[in-house]
Amino acid sequence: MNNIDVKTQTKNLCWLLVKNRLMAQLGINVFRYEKDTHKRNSKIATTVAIIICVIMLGGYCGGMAYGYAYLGMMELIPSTAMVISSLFTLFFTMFKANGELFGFKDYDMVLSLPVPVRTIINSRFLNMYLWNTFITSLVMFPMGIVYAFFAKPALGFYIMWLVGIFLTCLIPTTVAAVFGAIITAISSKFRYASAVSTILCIGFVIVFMVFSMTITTTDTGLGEMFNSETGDIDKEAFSAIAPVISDSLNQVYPPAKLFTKAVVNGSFGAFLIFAGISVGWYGLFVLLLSVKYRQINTALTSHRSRADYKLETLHQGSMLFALYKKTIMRILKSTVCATNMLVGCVLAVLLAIGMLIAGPEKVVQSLNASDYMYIVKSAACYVIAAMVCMTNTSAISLALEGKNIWLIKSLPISPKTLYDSYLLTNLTFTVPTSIVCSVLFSISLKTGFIGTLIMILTPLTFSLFTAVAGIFIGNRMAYYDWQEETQLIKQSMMSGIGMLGGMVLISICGIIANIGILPITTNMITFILNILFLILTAVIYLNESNRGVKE
Amino acid sequence: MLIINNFSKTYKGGKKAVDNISLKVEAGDIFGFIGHNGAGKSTTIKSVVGVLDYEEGEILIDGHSMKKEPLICKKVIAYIPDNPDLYEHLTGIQYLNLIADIFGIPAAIRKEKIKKYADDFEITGNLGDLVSSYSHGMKQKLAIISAVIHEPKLLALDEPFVGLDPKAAVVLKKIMRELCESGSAIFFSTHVLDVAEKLCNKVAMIHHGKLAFSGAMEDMLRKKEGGSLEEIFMEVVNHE
Repeated sequence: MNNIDVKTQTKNLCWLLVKNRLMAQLGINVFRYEKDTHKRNSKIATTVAIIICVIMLGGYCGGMAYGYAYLGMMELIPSTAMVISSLFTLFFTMFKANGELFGFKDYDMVLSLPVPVRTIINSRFLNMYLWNTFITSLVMFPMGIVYAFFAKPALGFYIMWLVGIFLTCLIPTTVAAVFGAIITAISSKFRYASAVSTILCIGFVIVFMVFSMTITTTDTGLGEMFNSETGDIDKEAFSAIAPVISDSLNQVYPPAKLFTKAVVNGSFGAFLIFAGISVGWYGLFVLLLSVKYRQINTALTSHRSRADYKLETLHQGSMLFALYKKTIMRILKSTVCATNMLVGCVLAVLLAIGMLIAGPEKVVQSLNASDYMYIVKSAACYVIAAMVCMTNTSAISLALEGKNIWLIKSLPISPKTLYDSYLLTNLTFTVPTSIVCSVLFSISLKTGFIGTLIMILTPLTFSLFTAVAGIFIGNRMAYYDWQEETQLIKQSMMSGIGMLGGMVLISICGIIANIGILPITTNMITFILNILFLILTAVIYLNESNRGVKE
Repeated sequence: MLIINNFSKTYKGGKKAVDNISLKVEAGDIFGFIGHNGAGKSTTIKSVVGVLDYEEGEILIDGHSMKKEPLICKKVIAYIPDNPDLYEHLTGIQYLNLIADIFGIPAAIRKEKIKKYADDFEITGNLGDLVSSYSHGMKQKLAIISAVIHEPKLLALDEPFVGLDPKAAVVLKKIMRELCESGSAIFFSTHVLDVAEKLCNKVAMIHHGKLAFSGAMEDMLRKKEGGSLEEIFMEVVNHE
């Protein structure tokens, strides 16, 4: 075999691996060959929901770009497009690094094949690159169209923008992969690697959020952007603030400056530097990684085995507590599960602490909405509830049993006990978070007795409701033959409805209670809503308790 | 202990996996269930233990219907699947404690049982390790221990000898015999026909979802003078 043949074969092998991975991720064979109509329909429904989200993301980005153009801040479009798509890439890659780039399930099988290690790495990165480029195009394509429509740039813009779509994700992919590798390398040294990985991931998100908030803060309030007499948008004020925002964005992500310079000023030089840095950085990373790739994966896929256990006193516990312990450990020991499921609670606590430290007056003042402090007070309980209820573990708990479902079905466990264990797990996360956040908000907003009571009661009511509703969702939509947790947590209908459904419902309730369309006080509306939802919770709970576990 | 009457199981899409089978496993029986791949063995066992629902026929465990009183039935049975997917996020001892809590086994008894069986299988030292670090054979051993710590009246096993080392296979056979002597019944599927011939007092052969034979092992062997179970099995399979 000559060199050309070897090269061709290597290229094909890489594509073969990528194609195989894409088929698994997209579930193409489910569409083509699945005979179970329920499974097929469920897949179709999930795909339709994802397509709708994709269209919404594209529409949102296009709308944002239109807003910038309308306000005369067109130069912000390129840097904003780049920062948004880079942030998407960063988070998407970091949370997928372990399991996608490192420590993936079929590692042993792939490595036993006559495929060079470099080809395996390339295939994994190529797969990640394709997904990230897809997300980047969703952001940059509509924003680019809007920019082109308003700015009417020269031909060079179109070339640079299109090529830019394919280059933008390279740097954030590698940065995220480095972080992902560091997190997985550190956590692999611990016995409870997944728990450590989860804490590090959440810690990274918090640090990143605090960092980005610190460097993008400006002294200009939103109120200054509007004409105080007419209430109309002040375009001049917006144009004046554009360079400040642009500088902030460039601070967050320096390559955005090069890209902006290239497409706004038509500077091919700046574009070539941007392209060179992106490709060079990416290539260097893959090259360096290939040297240590096998060692990293071996460390990740090797399990600690001490084999020195001595049987000591054992304790008997109740069936419910045993199942509860099992479920809570299942969620906390899975990085994908914990980071996605607990993000709502983490954000709620961060917001409550932020509110307490910065003070509500400052927050309200910066929005130039001092006159509306009473709305902030009465809407706060809905904000807490909406964030906390994003943590809906009960919706996915049954499906999380996966291949272990045979145990649940063959053991003498009543459906009610099983559901109660899922509910308790969910409430373990949401109830303490709700109480802590409510108390912190009550202190910072200086609410009265009734206000504090409502502030505490509302998130608790919605926590209960969404947890029970999660059981209802899970028991109808659960499936057990998933291959990867990511599929279940990030791409399933039950997870999406569980996480976002509660948030949407609570937001609607919050709007109804606060816009003054009903002839009673906001507190009274909120109280009535609490009672109604508690009754609804009880009805769903009683109904579900008598329902068997989904086949 | 186990009565299966006119049981049929049809999967979605109309494929009939099991077609009108009836058999009886009594206390003290070691009942072997043999058949080729896809014959319907696993489907039958999964229905017996309540993992699969069924529409036609009746399955009675200790006189109770699996369909109408599943919890009563499941309290006296134990099941080990062909590929034991256990909770990998737990340690071996945490897994055993979970199962023991579900069956309400008192602390002292569970300790005694776990010690006995874990020592027999030589995995006591590994009980503190995560199940995810276990080999297939170790998972199989853990599944067996979890199945027998509550002294089930009916132990249903699907291909229990796959993945076990020779010593562990001997231990399992010893446990099966001990359970039978104490009045329990064993119902297990296997492809290892030598083991079935030596271990079982009763046997059933399933072929394409239909029962080809069910009865005492001696009666089965009598079908072919001087022949082994393997030869009889091959005759049935090739006789189409």
